[in-house]
Amino acid sequence: MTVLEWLIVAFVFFGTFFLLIAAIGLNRMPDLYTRMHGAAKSTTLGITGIMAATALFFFSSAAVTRALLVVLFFFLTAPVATHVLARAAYFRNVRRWHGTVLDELEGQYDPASHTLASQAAQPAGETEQIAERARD
Amino acid sequence: MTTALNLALFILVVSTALCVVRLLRGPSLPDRVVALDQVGIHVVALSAVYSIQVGQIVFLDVAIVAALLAFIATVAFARYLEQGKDL
Repeated sequence: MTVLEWLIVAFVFFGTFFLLIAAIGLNRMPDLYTRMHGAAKSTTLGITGIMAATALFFFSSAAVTRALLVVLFFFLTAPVATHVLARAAYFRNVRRWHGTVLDELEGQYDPASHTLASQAAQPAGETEQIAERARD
Repeated sequence: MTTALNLALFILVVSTALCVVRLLRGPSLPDRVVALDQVGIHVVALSAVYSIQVGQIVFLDVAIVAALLAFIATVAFARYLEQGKDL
């Protein structure tokens, strides 16, 4: 095996390792939110490793462009998908782990309209700011 | 190199099986959606490693399409879940 082949195999195993870690985390973590946290980040890194290996193996402009496209796509969509899904789960009151320390969104969302309390009370917030400025 | 890539493919299949375990077990519906998203991402990785093994660049296009489909499916499921009732 040449040095390049060793490098390709190393990148493939780097990516495979992180995808395996994500799958183990998906089974071992205690609740939905910690599972999403483990899965989204390590799969992005794993896909990046495997795509680097394909770009090194083919080393043509077509392959490198496709690999970069996939990596860029994952870096854009993985956080978006995780956020949208976590938001939906929060509205459905998915059970949290008993060890959860802090929920900063507690009571901030209107359960019927799904709007934030800070967004719904926009006029009140403005008058408070004006009052603060007047005090200063 | 072929042996190493075969081993990598085997590990990826085991990893996909672990995701399917969560897909079947998942206590709530969002858990299952997360597991389904993970299965889609594993399909992307599998097709990329397979494209190295057979030396065909075409399978990278398969990876791109699989990534797109996994993302769109997740977002569609999330929109559906947000409008549904509590579990």
